Amino acid sequence: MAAMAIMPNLSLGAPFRLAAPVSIGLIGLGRQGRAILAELSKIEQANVVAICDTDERRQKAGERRAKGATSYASYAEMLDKEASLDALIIATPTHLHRQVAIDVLAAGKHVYCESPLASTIEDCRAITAAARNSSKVFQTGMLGRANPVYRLAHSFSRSGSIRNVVAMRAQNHSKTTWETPASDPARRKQLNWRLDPDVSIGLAGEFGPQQFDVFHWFVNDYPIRVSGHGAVLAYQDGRSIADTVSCELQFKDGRALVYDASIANSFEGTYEQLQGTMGTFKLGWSHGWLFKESDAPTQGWEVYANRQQFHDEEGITLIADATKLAAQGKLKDGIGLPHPALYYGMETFLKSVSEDEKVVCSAAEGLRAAAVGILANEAITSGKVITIDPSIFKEA
Amino acid sequence: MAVEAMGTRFEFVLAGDDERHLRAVGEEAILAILRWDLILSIFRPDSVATQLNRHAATQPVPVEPDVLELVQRCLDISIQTQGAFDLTIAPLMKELGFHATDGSRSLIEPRDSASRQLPLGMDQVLIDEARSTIAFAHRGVALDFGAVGKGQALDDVRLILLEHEVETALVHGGTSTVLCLGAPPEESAWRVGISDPKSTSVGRRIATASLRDEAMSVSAHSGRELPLADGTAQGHVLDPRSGCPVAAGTLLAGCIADSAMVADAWSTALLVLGRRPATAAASISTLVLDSAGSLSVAGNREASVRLEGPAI
Repeated sequence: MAAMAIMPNLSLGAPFRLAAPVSIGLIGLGRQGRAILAELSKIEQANVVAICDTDERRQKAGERRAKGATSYASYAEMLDKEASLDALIIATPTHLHRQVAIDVLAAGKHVYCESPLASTIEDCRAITAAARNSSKVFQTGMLGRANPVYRLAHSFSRSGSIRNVVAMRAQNHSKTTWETPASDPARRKQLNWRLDPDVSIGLAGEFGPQQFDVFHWFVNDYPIRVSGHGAVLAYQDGRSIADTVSCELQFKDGRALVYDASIANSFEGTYEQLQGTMGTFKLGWSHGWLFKESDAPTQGWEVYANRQQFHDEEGITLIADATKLAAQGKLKDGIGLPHPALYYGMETFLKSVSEDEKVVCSAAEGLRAAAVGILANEAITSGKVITIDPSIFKEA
Repeated sequence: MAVEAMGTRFEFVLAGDDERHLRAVGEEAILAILRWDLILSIFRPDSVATQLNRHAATQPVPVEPDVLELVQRCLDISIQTQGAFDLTIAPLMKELGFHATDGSRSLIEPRDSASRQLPLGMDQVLIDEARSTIAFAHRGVALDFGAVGKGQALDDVRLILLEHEVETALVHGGTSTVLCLGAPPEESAWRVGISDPKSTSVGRRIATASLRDEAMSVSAHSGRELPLADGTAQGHVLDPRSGCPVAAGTLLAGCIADSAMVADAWSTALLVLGRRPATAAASISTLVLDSAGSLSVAGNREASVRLEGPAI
């Protein structure tokens, strides 16, 4: 089966530059917050002037990474003292998103809120309502819609490259204990919110929404039912949050999305796959591929590609013998986006803030994907089949 | 614990009472190593280094403060080593086929280097601290962080370990750069063996270093020399000053310093220089093993290195 690497020609068009400075505050200096600082540092005039975390050690780590930024222990104090902030980025623990988002919107600021939007459907709906009532930009940090490879793949799918999607699968595999080190027992519970059964929505809730949103976007539909399983199989340290889960999300026409996530095994990492009658998309965040069925219609230029790599104007590269290369683990050699996926979340957000570009991922889509993740987690932990009633997607 | 990054394997030993805490700290350290891989590796399309090499000659590229600081420190070491250590060798390495992994590198004739007009030299690298940007003076300038990447990652690992009160640890990258904190129980220091570079089997040691709260890096031609007709060999390491591979006369060079990044850079420079330069500060301890098998150790940690007898 021939494969095509999907890589847009990013050298076309001017590199992104901000025309005027944007003053940014970052709330949450954990791993995601610091990863955000790294990507923002690539964009001149994206000025992180204020950073916030309740943990003093993280404040110090943040100060090292965001030179000149003032650090705060409370975001309320930050909003109060930094009146000139244009935008706030929320990277706190998921269960704290609601209050922060609502307060920041009430202060009249643009908001980028990390995925998942919130840890309960009610919280998600409250955030969405507040976002709707604000004239400012609200972007949910689900990165598929911002990703240049995914956008190119989406445009192909719209023009029928894979025809009807009959099956979907996705996975998130990375080997980590999900534990954060802490200096004392009180901080340990706070910092390890992902493993706290009182607040955590598990792997399906934390990792799932970002990936489910890719399918919502590509097939323009949402699942109606979810069932699943999960267990603690690797980390027998007294935790109750499953380290390995799988679930099936069913759509109304009988199509299914099979999803599995594990923090105990890293094989093949994280990707989404859409199988259609004429071809299959495999999207892996920094790379994307289109595997065409043998009887799929051929584009003119494909005929000349033969056994070599071939680039067309839009930036597709044909890789012959792709299945063999994939088996050898060589499929990724030589191609890939010039920035991590998170960079494009920052770029699109700043474009919306400064150039009035349409928000690539709204609060409403954040609500839908998070709700699916929350219900998937419920199915996994309860062992029950959970109905996903479309009415839950209605903004409050 | 272990992680694959920068084309090699980093391994950790962390000591303490709370295994769960240690493992969580180890994972923070792994994230720091992966972060530096994402910044420094010129073999990945999404690294800061690749973006610098692609764009910095056209417009200044904004970078994080610690990346800027790394480049500044590399400039300082370049001066201290009289150019034997130089980040700007990437175009030379590429042209001479040093990045090829298929064994396709061929012998370079000394006369070739003069005709090559590659824009080398750290003076081509323009650092703007106020804007936090790096620019290149000419097209074709490119940086290769291979000689300092592991050390830089290990320095960050040290910060994290100490922040989380882990004071006893040994962390190494590819067995060529090691960071030692504290000492194993009932010992005064970590004892790290330096292998005989000529030996085909693992474990033949020429010296042992006793390290405590410091780093050591060792450079050798690692079996990638190309033999010459006169019985000598052309080494795997380039001399940025001549644009040619170093004659494989010095078998091994090493450095012990507080900073793993400094040790890493200096061990590469020493392999090029073949001897400790007069400009080396006492805090930079050096080891040089010459082709006759004689090991010279100098610097204020000289006493920490014990020879194991005749090298060859």
